[in-house]
Amino acid sequence: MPLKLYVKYVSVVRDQVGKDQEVIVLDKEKATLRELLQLLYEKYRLEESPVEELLVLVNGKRLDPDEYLPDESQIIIAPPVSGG
Amino acid sequence: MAQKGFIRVGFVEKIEPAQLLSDFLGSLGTEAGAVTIFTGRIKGNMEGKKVNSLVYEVAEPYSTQSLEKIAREELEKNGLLGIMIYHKKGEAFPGEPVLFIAVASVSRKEAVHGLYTVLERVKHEAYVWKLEKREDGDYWIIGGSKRVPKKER
Repeated sequence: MPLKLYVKYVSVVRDQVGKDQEVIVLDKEKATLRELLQLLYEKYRLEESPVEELLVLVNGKRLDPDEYLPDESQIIIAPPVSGG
Repeated sequence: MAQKGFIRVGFVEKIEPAQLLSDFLGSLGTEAGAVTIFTGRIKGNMEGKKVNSLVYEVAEPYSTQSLEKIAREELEKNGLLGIMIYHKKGEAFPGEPVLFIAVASVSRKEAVHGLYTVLERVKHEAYVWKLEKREDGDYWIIGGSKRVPKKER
């Protein structure tokens, strides 16, 4: 069964990707956060991003890169925060 | 018996410090001997350039949850009686208040220390991002101070 992920891009990452959000369907039952990020880095050339370290939230939490992504996860990809 | 502390947090379209302070003071019991507050405002000048506005972006419900986490942890860690954190979302203009924090405790040391700790955590941990619109262009602010020109779409 494919893995369906809802990905939202924030701030300068949205600039780099060129869209606010997308649904990514992976043709496999399991994928780690690291695998998803590798896919996005290649697809959107994120290595050219001016942001050295991304903030990634999976269902509101920071995940270890080698953890598996739950199906239908809400994922936010953003630069470091800038509150205040 | 000590009264359990309270927290109130949120991202809102308008920050009204006087009203928020009044609400905070009105929620305190008589055991609170110290209250400290911080109000952050938009600066009209940055790096020698005129700032027209800042646009605050949030990702709800996670942004509000990040404020709740900060407030709850600091309340418990420091034995505080109350914490209020309200942060602006959307576009803000020079002089406009964009952050209000209030901390109450039995005595002054905890209130002063607690306010500083909460403020620093909001700056570094709250899920909010900003775009600076100024006379020489629009810039994403990354982390504390790095600026990246916004691409036209």
